[in-house]
Amino acid sequence: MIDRNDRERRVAELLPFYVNETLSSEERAEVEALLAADVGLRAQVDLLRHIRATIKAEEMNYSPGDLGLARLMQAVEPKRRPFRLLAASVAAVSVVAGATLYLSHADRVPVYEQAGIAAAQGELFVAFRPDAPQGAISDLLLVHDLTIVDGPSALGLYRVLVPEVTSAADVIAALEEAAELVESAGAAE
Amino acid sequence: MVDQKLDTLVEAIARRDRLAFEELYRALERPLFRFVQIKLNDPFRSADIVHEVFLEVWRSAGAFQRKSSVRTWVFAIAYRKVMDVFRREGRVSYQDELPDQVDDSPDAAAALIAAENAEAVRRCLEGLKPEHRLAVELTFYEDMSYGDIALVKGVPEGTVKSRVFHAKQLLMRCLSARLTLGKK
Repeated sequence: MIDRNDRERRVAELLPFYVNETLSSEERAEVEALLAADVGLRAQVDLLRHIRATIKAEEMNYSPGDLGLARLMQAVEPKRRPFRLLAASVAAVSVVAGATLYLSHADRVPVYEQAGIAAAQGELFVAFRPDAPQGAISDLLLVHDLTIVDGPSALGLYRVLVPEVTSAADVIAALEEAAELVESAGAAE
Repeated sequence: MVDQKLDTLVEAIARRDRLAFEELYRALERPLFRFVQIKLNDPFRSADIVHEVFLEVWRSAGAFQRKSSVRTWVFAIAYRKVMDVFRREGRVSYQDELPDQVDDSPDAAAALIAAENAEAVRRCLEGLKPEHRLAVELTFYEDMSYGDIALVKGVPEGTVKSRVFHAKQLLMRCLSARLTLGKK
């Protein structure tokens, strides 16, 4: 047999869920039976309604919003072949650079080893479009929490650091999506 | 958004429907961010967690078994990721060490008068420990049942009811005290 104190405690624990209207019909009936006889409990219900209304009215205005959605949609974009793009870009530039060097300095070996920007794991090589505005590039890097750690190389490549908690593949996909800014992006290996 | 609509969206996401994914994001992004932010108190990290939650939804929508509502499922993913952050960073969680001896009865009538001032309510909410605050948020912002909150947090239903009850007692005590001290 449940004594009165146990019943009061049980109903007091149900009050918040009475206010948010998620109780079963049996629980609701139990709460209402006690409420009818207890003015203190009714004051608690009024108080909980005030608290609920205050919480509902409070907004956090700095959620990721549309920026977060854009980042997310880029991340779920079907993967393309970033490295092939990068390789093609590097090859094209290299052919031109090599030919030029060969013609003017035929006795020297053309060097295009990314001019001192050897990369570590979790890093990308990124080539931005020559006409990409600096502000737009900065915004893009900030959105993905990326940091340029070296570059540009002779081939125009930047070495970009990807945060540990972020998938490099997702970042590559996102950078490729920003095709108006990024010429190529690929994992640095 | 009603649960049935969210169910439909997740079914579509399982078929790689990007528009449905976008709609689910718009429905749940703000409450999820709020939920994570209350626990982490770091808006940048919270945004990353929300991003990871939605990526997991995208990847595992096909495996969603409808043992709970979509909202409960998504919040449970968020809660696990937040707790992972706590574990990785060695942060203290109050989940298992909340005092349960605040049962003296604060004056509900005085608290009610104080609660007329929304700022006083906000101040008292901010004074709660994160686990109490989360329980109150899920109860009153998300309007979740105690059963759903138990699923989100992976604790027994009795623990949820007890935690929300104690949070309410603490809020009543805080509001009564503010009234007594004449604070806003």
